[in-house]
Order: sequence, then C-alpha cells, then structure tokens
Amino acid sequence: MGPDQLRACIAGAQAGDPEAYRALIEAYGPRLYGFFLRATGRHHDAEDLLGELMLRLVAKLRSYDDRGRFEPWLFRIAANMVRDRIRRMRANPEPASLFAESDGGATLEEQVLAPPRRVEADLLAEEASGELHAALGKLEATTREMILLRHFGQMSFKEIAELFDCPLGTALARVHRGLRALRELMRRNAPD
Amino acid sequence: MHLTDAQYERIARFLDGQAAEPAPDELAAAEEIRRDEAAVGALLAAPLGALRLERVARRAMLAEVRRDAAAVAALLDVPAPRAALDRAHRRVTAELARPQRVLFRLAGAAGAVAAAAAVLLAVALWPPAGRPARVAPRAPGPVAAPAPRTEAILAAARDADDPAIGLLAIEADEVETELLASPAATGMDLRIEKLQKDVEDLWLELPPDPAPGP
Repeated sequence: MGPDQLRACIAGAQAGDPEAYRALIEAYGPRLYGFFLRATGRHHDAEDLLGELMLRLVAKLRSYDDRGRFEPWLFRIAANMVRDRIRRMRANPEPASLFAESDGGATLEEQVLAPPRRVEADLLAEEASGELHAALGKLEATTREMILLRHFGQMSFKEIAELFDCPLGTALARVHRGLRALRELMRRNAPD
Repeated sequence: MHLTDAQYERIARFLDGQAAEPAPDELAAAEEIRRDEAAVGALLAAPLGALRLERVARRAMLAEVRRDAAAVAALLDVPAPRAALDRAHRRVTAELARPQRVLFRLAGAAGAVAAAAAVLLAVALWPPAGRPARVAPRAPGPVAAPAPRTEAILAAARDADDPAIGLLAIEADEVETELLASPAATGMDLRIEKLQKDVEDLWLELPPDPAPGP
C-alpha cells in the first residue's frame, strides 16, 4: 500500500468506514498473522490476536496522529499484545489436549482422525516450519521478538531500540546473535 | 648529505642486519634513519579510536545480519488463512456498529423514562379544569400509592389500543415501581409535595374570579 493510499485508508478508518478497515486488514493482516503465529506458536492465538488488534485499532485510531509512521506504531501495539499473551500463557499453562494445534493449524484430534493422505511436500514444509518454531523457542524472548519485528514489522534497528528502550548497538547485537543462533540450530536439525 | 644508490644499498643491508661494512658517512645516515623511524612509528601505531572500531564492527555485523536474515526470512513467512482475515473484519464491523446501537438504546430508554415521568407529574399536579388544586399536604415518608384518578388514567392507558400509549403506561408503571423501591423515593416525594404546595399557595394569592356581572 502506497503512502497516499495508506493515508486515505487511515482517514477512512478514523471516520469509521468498515471498508477502510478491510483494506488495512488485507494490507497488514498477513504480516501481523505471521508475527503472532511465530511469536506464540499457535494458529488459534494468532487468529485471536489479529482480531483483538483490529478491535483495538478502532479505539486507538481515533487519537492516532498520522506522521507517516503507521507500520512501526501498528507493530508496537502487536508486540505489546504478544507480551501480554505470553505472560498469561506462562501464568496459566494449558495441559496438552486433543485440541492442541500442530504448526499446520490442525488439532491433534484432526490429525488422528484424518485420512493418511498428505502430500510429501506439505509434510516437509510443515516439518521445516516446526523446526523453525522449535529453534525460535530456544531463543531468549526479547531476542526472538526483535528478530520477528525486524522481519514482519520491517522495523529499523533504531525503532527497535526505541521500542525496547535499549542502545542501538545492543539491539543490533541481539539480532545478530539471535539470527546466528537460529541459523546454527536450523543447520544442526537439517537432514543430512 | 648526498648519498649514491650504491651507498643507500649498503645502508639498507646494514639496517637489515646483513653483513655490510658501511663507511662512516653511511653509518651516520643509517643512525639517522633508525632515529626517524622510531619517532614516526609511535604515530603510525596510534589506535583508530573506539568509535571508529565500533563502526567497523557494526558494519560487519550488519552485513552478517542481512545475510542471516535473508536465509531465515523464507522460513519465517507463513500464509494467513483467509478465514482469519475475514473474521477479524467481521469483529471490526460489529465493533463499529456497537456505539450507534448503544446510543440508540440509551436515547430510547431515556426518552421513555422522561415521557413516563412527565405523564406522572402532569397527572399528579393538574386536576380537571375549573377547580383549583387542593391537595392535602402529606407528611414526608415513602411514596404513597398514586391517587385514584391517576391510577384510573394509567389503567385506561394500559388498556388503550394505541401501542405508544400502552408503552408509555408500562414505562410509567416501571418508573413508579422504581420510585417505590428506591431509597431516593422520599426525596422525589418531597419535591412533588413542594410543587403541590407552591401551586396551592399560588391559587391562594390570586384574586378571586370576578363575580359575574349584572
């Protein structure tokens, strides 16, 4: 979405136009969903958080002052929501259940009951994604968040440093070490 | 001092520690070169400075980050299900419609209560035309049951065919029930009582109706 189009979209959303929100969902929904999924590891939480964030936008956009920094602002809200969700998940861990999801979004129940006809490419893709999820899980929470915000939120190191209230060098160092660790973990888990 | 190429070659081999037998002026030149090199060497060995080193390190780090991020990027991306995006839009649409629905409900309720209260007050204060209101003052206390005339009017309203009047009557019942049940009923009653007394005093102050003429 170009800057002019985005500006018009924000103005429409501030005026309460549902179609303007639709345009925002189409433009940012996939990246937000990806961010939420990689941050929480669960499709259900990702979808729930996406819906919650859009609801919050209805209130927050009323007082939003558009200075061309919509994306970092949006992903800042997303990051705060993820932190709250993870805090709650840690406080109330859910026991394993038939309804726990795989990385492909299918519950265990669905996987058990589904006919065993899945394309090998899908299985490989799911396996790689699962390995990435496991590798992300091994990173320290702040480092993981910074990497995800860099990727999905397209945030600069300066913006990340501001968000996490740390020096610019620290933000860069964390992302650097995190990515290196991620690559190393993926390399170790890759099939020979 | 002017030295030939051959002399410079002998000085160089001497400074390199090779066997050479420099002449006295060549030896002097060699010593001078050693002194100058020592002086300049200290300047050449000066550190780049912490800030510059940091910049160099950071540049290298950035290059590595870009390379690693590119490698991981393709794995991080995940398609968002269409259903998830549609559900989010439905939630937003419902939220956008919510304030209007609440406002309409509030306005409707406020209007009904106000209308019912106005009906009650009007019925309580204004008896049939031609006769001044002579309401006996009541001692402060809980709200008494409505006067028989008021009750008759409300009953007629309830039975009325007009649904709007029927609705108003029902609202009036509800307001009355609330008044009877609420602890603030006493205050409302006092206010109504004062109004009634004011009206009575007004009647007492007004001149009598002119007597009919001859």
